[in-house]
Amino acid sequence: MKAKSFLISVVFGQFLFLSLAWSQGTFKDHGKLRYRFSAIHETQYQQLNSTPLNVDNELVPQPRYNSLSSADLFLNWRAFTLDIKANALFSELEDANYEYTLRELYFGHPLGDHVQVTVGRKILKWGTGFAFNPTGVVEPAKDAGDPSDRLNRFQGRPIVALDTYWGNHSLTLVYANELKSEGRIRLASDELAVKFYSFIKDVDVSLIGHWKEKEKVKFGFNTAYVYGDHLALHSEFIAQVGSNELYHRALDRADHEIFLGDSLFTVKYQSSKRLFYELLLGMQYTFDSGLNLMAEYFYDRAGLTSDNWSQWRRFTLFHQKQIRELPPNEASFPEFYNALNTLSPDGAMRHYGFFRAYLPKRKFGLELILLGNLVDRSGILIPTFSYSFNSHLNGWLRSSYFEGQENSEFGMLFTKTSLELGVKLSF
Amino acid sequence: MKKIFLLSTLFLVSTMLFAEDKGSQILRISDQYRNAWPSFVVRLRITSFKNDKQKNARNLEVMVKGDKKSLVRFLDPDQKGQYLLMLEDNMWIFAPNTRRPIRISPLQRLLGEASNGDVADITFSENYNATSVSEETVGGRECFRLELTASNDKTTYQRVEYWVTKIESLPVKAELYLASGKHYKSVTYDEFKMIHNRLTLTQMTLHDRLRNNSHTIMEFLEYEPQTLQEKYFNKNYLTQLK
Repeated sequence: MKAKSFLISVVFGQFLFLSLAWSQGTFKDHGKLRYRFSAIHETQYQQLNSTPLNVDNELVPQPRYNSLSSADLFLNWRAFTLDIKANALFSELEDANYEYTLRELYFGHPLGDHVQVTVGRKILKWGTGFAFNPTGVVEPAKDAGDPSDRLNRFQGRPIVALDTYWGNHSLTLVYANELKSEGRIRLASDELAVKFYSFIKDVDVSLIGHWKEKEKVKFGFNTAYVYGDHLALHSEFIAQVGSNELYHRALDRADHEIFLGDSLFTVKYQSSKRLFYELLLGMQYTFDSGLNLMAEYFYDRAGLTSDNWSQWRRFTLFHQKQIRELPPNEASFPEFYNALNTLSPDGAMRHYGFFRAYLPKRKFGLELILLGNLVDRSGILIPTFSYSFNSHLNGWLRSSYFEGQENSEFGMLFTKTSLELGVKLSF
Repeated sequence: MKKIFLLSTLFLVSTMLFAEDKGSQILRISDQYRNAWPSFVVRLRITSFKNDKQKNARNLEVMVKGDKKSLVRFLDPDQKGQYLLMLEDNMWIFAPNTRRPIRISPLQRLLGEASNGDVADITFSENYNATSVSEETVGGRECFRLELTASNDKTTYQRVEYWVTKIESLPVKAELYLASGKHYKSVTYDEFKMIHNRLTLTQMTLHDRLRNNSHTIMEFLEYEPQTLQEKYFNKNYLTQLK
């Protein structure tokens, strides 16, 4: 134990010494403490949807009102970086919830002129897409309806990374492990990712490889290109042979009035030789006035088909009705709630579209986002008005409208409309 | 008749070549007042005005290496942690909330009047060819007037009219045109000072010709010559910057 502590102290001391010794041509405040602080408050009001999955807001109670207050502190001193966030969530349904999140804590140091090593928890972003990032193999989960992360929700992952830079190229090797904390810290699944980047003939090209224990190896690429003054194009593609995706067992059954008990999921395509891929195609056009229009198309081969979706819905509604019977069928409770948990926050099906219009003015900005399922034609419309009071204070008024038929992906969600009023103070 | 035509063509081509040669020389000298060292860091303040009332002020720090590479760091509280990288006419913006470099087109404006191209594009000699040189008096000063055309179609302003003083080739003013022919901006080079023993541009004003009564003043507050490593101008290195 003493030897371990001594070794950790020596290693940490080495990092500290290297950090103090580091001196390169840089910006004026190199070597000084850099900081960013932001405090956010957002209040949300929701009008609930009368979806059959949540009649009278009983089975999956949703708050009509909640508010979030958070404070985010980012510190950087030489090679050390810390980003910590404190949240307070107030909801009409629950007691106030207080928590803190360690978003980032890492040591990043150059080894010579071309190599950079990073150890710790860091947010990595590899994709070129705005709402969807198939090649974001080491990225934190993203909300496609809030691509710019206005509430600072992104959280880093524990990694050891090596970056090498030469000319217009770079090579990044990442080892990641979501450490488990069960009394003492233990290693979870090993994960390796590699990215080779090159800027060739005015095109950003990245080749990406990813391996995780017990999962399929993935290969992919992403690109970005600007044509003229106005048009920017981007794309992402990632593929694997077979799939480790978990599918609800109800999808494979002809009859939906079934009870699965503990055996809920199956890995349908583990041994398949079929190529499972995700594709993103995107473009954005900027007019002379500053109006920016963006459109993206996203396809996920592993997503549910319309038939899968219908089967899932019939199964879930069956158990929902069983719960509402008098007396309720107790066996249906876990069946119903587990079925709801199979839905992916990125969208459960295959074809999605994203559209964004953004007009920045000096003091204010107008944004309109439309995120939709292209098969069942359901989606969310999100207009946002943002205002900059001064360089420290800005605010926004944002609303969301969930549209679609009752049996559609977005039409069956628990919220019909929501309104958010937020303010952000930055130093 | 044929002889006259040939002679006229020869004369015209010679004049153009002479103009281009003389123009290139003038551009190189004139660029030195705006790009005085092989690599340096400069601190800027960009103030936007509408109807002569101040609307917005931004503070930046810019790393410049050679004629085609610059890295802009945004200093104001609501933009802290943001960077803009420009390699020739290719641009990437990095914002701390998205945590990744995003490729943007030249027209995506982030600084009010000053488009990204204006902020980062310091020199003309590398991006433009002088197709004619004439003489004109501007504000009581004898000047050369140069007609410049962009040497590649990715340059923000495809045509520029540029005036420099005859003797020192000090920049005086410029008129900037888009590829469509639209007159987009007017620039005046207002102030020069001796910095590290070099006469260097310290203030310029940009007038928006599409939006009336709007202009931006760019003040170059502090220059520091430095050796800058190549990795600062690699798009993927942006994720290492704070």
